[in-house]
Amino acid sequence: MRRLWIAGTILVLMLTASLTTSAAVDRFAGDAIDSLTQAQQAVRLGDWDSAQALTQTAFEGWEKHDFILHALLPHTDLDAVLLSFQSLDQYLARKAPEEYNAANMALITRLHLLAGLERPSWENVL
Amino acid sequence: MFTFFTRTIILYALIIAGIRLMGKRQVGELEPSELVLSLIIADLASVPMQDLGLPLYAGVVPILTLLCLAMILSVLTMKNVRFRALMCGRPSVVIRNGELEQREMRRNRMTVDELLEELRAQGYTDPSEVQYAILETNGQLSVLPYAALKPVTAQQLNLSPKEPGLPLVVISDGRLLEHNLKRLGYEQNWLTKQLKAQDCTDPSEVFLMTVDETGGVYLSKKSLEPTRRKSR
Repeated sequence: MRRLWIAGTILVLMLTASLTTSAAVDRFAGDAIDSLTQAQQAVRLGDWDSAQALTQTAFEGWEKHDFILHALLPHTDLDAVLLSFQSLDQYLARKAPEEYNAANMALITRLHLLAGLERPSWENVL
Repeated sequence: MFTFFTRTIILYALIIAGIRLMGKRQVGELEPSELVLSLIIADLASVPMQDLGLPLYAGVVPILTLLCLAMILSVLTMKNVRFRALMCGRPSVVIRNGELEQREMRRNRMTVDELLEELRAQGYTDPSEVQYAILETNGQLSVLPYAALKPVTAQQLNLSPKEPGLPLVVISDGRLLEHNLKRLGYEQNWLTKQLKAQDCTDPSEVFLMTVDETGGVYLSKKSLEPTRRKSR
């Protein structure tokens, strides 16, 4: 019976960990998406300095959790996010609003999809 | 390359732990659920071992989950007869009193050729010599011949051979296992005498030495032919 309890406990712990990590990835992605959305607004208003600061905040917030994200998410997807942030930097430097907005939307979509990967949903299960 | 190296070690250790948890049965005697588990675990472990784009937990979590589920199923199988029948099935009698049980053979999709092959492998060429042949849940065939056709035993001949008991390994690949020597009730002096009788001076010269409860010694020197000698 002891083995039964040990196995059951490990399963419950893994389930708890999966729900916790799902919530964490959701939060990390959510924070980055919020900052990027605000940056997009700033670009529309022509406030490039604010857009730069907000984009940097989004990037730093995402990078801060790099270890956990690499432990949980496919590395190729994370590399794509990093490249997207670099593209945003380039468009900010060139002050190219249309390119920036397009790249920003693509990155936001990518972050939504990444967060969705970890979400406990029937779409993911099936 | 470091990533391949480290992941391989981690996943290999996990698989070894999983196989240890499955117990002492050989591969050929695994129940269907255990065989499926082994196959799946092997496949799961190879994925993050080869694809560095996937996080390590993509292999670790499924393997751990499967091992825990297998553990739960094995405990439930042990505790509940009905559950055991559901998971493992029931043995089928395919020969009863020398007659082939064709219905049972059809139910188990066992052909006559397969049955005869299994009987021959156990030394029986004629099904009429077999009282019962039982197809076990792990796929092995247990053959019970008629009593009159079984090999004669010492008891039937009113003989009382001495029980040799269980031989214990005393020296294994040059290494003396003192706890086994003590368990048999012998000391170093006795061992030295036994080694000397076999032209050995040290345990390091011995590949294998076993001693049974009657004092029978089997000794095989390293890189030499084995010798058998009964002594006390």
